Amino acid sequence: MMDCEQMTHLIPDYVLGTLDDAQRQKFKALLTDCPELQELLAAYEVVAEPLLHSAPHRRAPEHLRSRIFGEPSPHTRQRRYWLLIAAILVLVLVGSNIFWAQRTDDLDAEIDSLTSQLLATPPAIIPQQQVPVAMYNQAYQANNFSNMTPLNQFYASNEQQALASITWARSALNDSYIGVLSTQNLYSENTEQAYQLWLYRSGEPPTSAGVFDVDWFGNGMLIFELEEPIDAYEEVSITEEPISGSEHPTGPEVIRESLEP
Amino acid sequence: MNTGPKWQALPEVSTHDSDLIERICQHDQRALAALYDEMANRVYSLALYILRNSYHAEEVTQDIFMKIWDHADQWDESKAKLSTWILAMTRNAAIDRLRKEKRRPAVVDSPLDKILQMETVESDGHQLRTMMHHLPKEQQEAIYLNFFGGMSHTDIAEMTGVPLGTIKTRLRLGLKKLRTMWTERS
Repeated sequence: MMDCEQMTHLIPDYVLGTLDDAQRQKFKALLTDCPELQELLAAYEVVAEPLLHSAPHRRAPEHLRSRIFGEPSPHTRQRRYWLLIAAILVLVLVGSNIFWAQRTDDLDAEIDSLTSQLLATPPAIIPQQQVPVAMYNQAYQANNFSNMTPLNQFYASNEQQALASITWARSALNDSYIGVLSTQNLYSENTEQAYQLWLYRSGEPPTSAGVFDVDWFGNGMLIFELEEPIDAYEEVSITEEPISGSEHPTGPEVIRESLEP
Repeated sequence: MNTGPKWQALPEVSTHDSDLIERICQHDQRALAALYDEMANRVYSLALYILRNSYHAEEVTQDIFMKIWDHADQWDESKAKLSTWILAMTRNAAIDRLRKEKRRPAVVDSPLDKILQMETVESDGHQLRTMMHHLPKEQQEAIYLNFFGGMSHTDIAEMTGVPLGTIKTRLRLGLKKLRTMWTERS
């Protein structure tokens, strides 16, 4: 005989009529052996339907209608465009990393020379190649970062299984520090909002490390520069903010974690 | 390649449920579009409430309307209202998705809940949700996990680490109170 406790999840299905005929007959027969479930059944017969309608109201995204009815959505096209750019950027970064890893010591001088040239040329390259300034700067910093050995890494997560990791290293070009934040499962429910990374230490207002967006899979990346190592701070948090970012945290906090060991 | 419904030139669509379904059975895309406009927000809201993930909620919503397109004839007017039939399918699809991904339903009072609670509309469902908030948090959780998470007594006890007997009592008392409040509403 099936354990009565293990059948409780079928009661709403039975009441809502979503069991197939065979399941329905089997459930009906077992109900007689499980009198305690009959009380739950009686309650669900009254509240199951209103419960179905009780989910808090949310608007379905506009692009969903286009997707179902086969119309191309500008929103979808724009996302695809950015995903393509992100994929190219990742390939460029990975390729760059492999390339630099294979160079030998006798090419150090050449690397230094190329790095110096790269430092001097950003304003000239940006308009010629028509690369968005922010993305160019991110690629430029990431290229710089790929040549460095990370000092440390830390992870944070929240109840929704969102994961954030921050890796940081000393800049090869000046006295600053470069950090790379990457997120997974950080789902944005509001397309009008972005996420903002904050650093905290006692007696000071929060320092913004930058604003970033996530893709449909909750993956996001932010490369930021600091004058001090990140462990000079005590805590980090990620909040939802307007796309242009905020001076101080204003939106809901999605992750907060201590940086202290 | 999009294999979705194709346009057909048919008369103007009525919003009457049985008429809509009859037209959808004849593959009238305007009928499906009218049903979508009427139900999409409710389907998406329920899927999002169960899955807590907008991407997966969109996929479930899309699957539900494709299922309606292919199997509209399965709706039995004598057994359930059209909206109930659609939302019951949505609930099942979302729970199946949770099980497939071996994810557990999120318990109440997550930050997303607070965001979700900001947008509510006056309806029977909203009334019931307000009543739910009058129950002790543990009873709300038991009902949520059983109804929206598709979890049995045993599953809930394992997930929460609370003794099976306690879970049974919470679910029984919670549902009993909810039933009483619902039947006695003015």
